[in-house]
Amino acid sequence: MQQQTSTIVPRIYMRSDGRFARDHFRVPSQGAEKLQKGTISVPVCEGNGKSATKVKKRVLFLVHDWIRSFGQAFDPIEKSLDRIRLEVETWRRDAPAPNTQAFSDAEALLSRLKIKRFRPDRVLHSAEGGIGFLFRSGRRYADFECSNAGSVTAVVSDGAGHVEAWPVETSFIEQTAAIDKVRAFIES
Amino acid sequence: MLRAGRPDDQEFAADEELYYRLDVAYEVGERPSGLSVRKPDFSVNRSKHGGAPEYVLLPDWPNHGIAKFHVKGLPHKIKSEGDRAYSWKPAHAPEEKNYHHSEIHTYKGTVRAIKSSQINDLVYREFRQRLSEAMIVIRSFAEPAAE
Repeated sequence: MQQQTSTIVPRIYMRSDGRFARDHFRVPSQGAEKLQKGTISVPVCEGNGKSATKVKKRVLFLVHDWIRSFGQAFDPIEKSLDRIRLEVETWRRDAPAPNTQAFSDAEALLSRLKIKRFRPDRVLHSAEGGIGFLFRSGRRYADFECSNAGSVTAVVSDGAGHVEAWPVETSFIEQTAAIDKVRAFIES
Repeated sequence: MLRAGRPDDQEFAADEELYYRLDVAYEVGERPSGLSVRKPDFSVNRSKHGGAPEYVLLPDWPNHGIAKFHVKGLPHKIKSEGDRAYSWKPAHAPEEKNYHHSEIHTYKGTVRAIKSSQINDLVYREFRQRLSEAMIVIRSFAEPAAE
């Protein structure tokens, strides 16, 4: 009987708390070939490949490139978030500096925006202390605010008098539902 | 700009301009995000009695931006759950080196709400968004250079 060879490929997966984590998993080499051909779009399975002895670099690069292209559109937003984080050390603005809670919530929210491929127009610190992501389309406006107090809220406005604000729980389901609502509003 | 013994003046016309200091960069002519508006009480400067927009940068904020809005742009009657209605009014609060200094106060019905913590955050979120839509940036904030 022919022995089945296996290949280790990296994966980025979502944990139950909604955050991303990184590890590796093992697929049969035949599966890895499929991955190279793009027939497996998102590798999701259990297991770490620590016992494996062979890693096919070309597969690694393929997955790496796929992940990079997935996230590239968000690079400017992530850089802006990093700039705010760096500035905290020497904060000299009117607003309270965003704290670790706000950054943590903002990162979780950003990861969910990435999943939804719904890129904010801008990330900025909040005048009340925290981090905000804003979206504009014509007169329509929406934002998410991750406050220093640990709350996340959303606002939508049609620019003609209709304004709605609501709290957003931090669970994956609640936040993706809120993102869907904001997106539907902005794109309508 | 100095007070020089002048009394306060609590008369605000609906079309009087108020000036708000910004610590985020926006283009001149743009409407700022509601995220850049604080919740009351907060400081503004008034235009009555010759108040120039730049006076709102006194004494310590020479690089900040400025947004202007009219008194009538202040949101009124935002309702919270429980049907409580909130409104906002300006109050002249002159300082010795800044006569035109004023504040925006919150009212619950006809009574001034001193403690903002007693008011639902969503009321303030709506207030901040509505006020931002009444604002126009007239001076851009100079972002600090990246290190």
